Amino acid sequence: MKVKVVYPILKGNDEIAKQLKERFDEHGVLVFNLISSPGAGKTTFLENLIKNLSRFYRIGVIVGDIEDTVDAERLSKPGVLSVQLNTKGACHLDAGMIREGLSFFDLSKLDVLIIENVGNLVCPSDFYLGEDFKLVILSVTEGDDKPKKYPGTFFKADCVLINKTDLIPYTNFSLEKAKNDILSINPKVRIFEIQATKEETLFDFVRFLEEKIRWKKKKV
Amino acid sequence: MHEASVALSTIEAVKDIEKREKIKASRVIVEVGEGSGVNIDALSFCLSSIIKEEGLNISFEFVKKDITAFCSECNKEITLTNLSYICPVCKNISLNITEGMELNIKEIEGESVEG
Repeated sequence: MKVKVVYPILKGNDEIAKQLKERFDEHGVLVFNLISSPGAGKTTFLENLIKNLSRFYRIGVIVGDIEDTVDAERLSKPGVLSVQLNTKGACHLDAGMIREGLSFFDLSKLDVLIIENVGNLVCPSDFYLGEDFKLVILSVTEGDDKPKKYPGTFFKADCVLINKTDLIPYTNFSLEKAKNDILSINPKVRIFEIQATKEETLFDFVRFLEEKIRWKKKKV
Repeated sequence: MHEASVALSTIEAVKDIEKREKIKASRVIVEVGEGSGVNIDALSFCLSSIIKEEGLNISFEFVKKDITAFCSECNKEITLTNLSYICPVCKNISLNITEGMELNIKEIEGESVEG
């Protein structure tokens, strides 16, 4: 006997993610999923982003790492609740893990929830976590060939930050090639150039994020 | 290597369908879209390990699906290659993806079980 079905294999994940999205929407919390390879500068970027944003907005962070809690400690600032999830070997966060992490938060007291995914340019982009947008960081020291080598993640990104642009003179990284390659995969993506260690280089992105925060609030 | 978690989800999905359809699966067809980010060889390897571990007798077949999209400029379906959101004919960037992102169980074959 044969049975024809259309059964999404990640149905379990997607159903949880949909429920999470409903909870985020209900409270008008803007959520983004931050993805990059290890060492691209996710945590340094978040440290300075949070410094900028926490004056005006209430921020929560869920940090995914295979082991250790160093990132959550780095991101725990006054007024910022940061929760570390250890995936114990898994290369990505899934919606079930986010649901567990959320038990530490009161969504009615948040404006932004940041999900810092496990450092990996391949797997995290396949697991929807209920986020409003996916933010990908590509750093200069990884090389300008990475978008073409890991197109899946750039294909699904809503926004890309090119980090460590101050190191360009010391490498053979071509900003033009990197941008053209990203846009050839995903022509509608927003690209920002940043130096995560320098707060002032994040202002354009902060303005972009503030627009999104207001948009999300209005939807409630 | 998220294919390991995808493989675990596949087995769970098979068990769910078995229960619903009152069937004992012996052959399962999985469709894998080019844009799903899943590597069929890795998924197949992970599935074979789980099957062995759990003593299941199921063979898996995979159907690969290209990414297709509707181009409003050309007014027709086009196939996208190399994971790129641009129409290869007219370079239009406003495309609607119609296929190729799926990761589904498509068909299950097996003996029906009572109860």
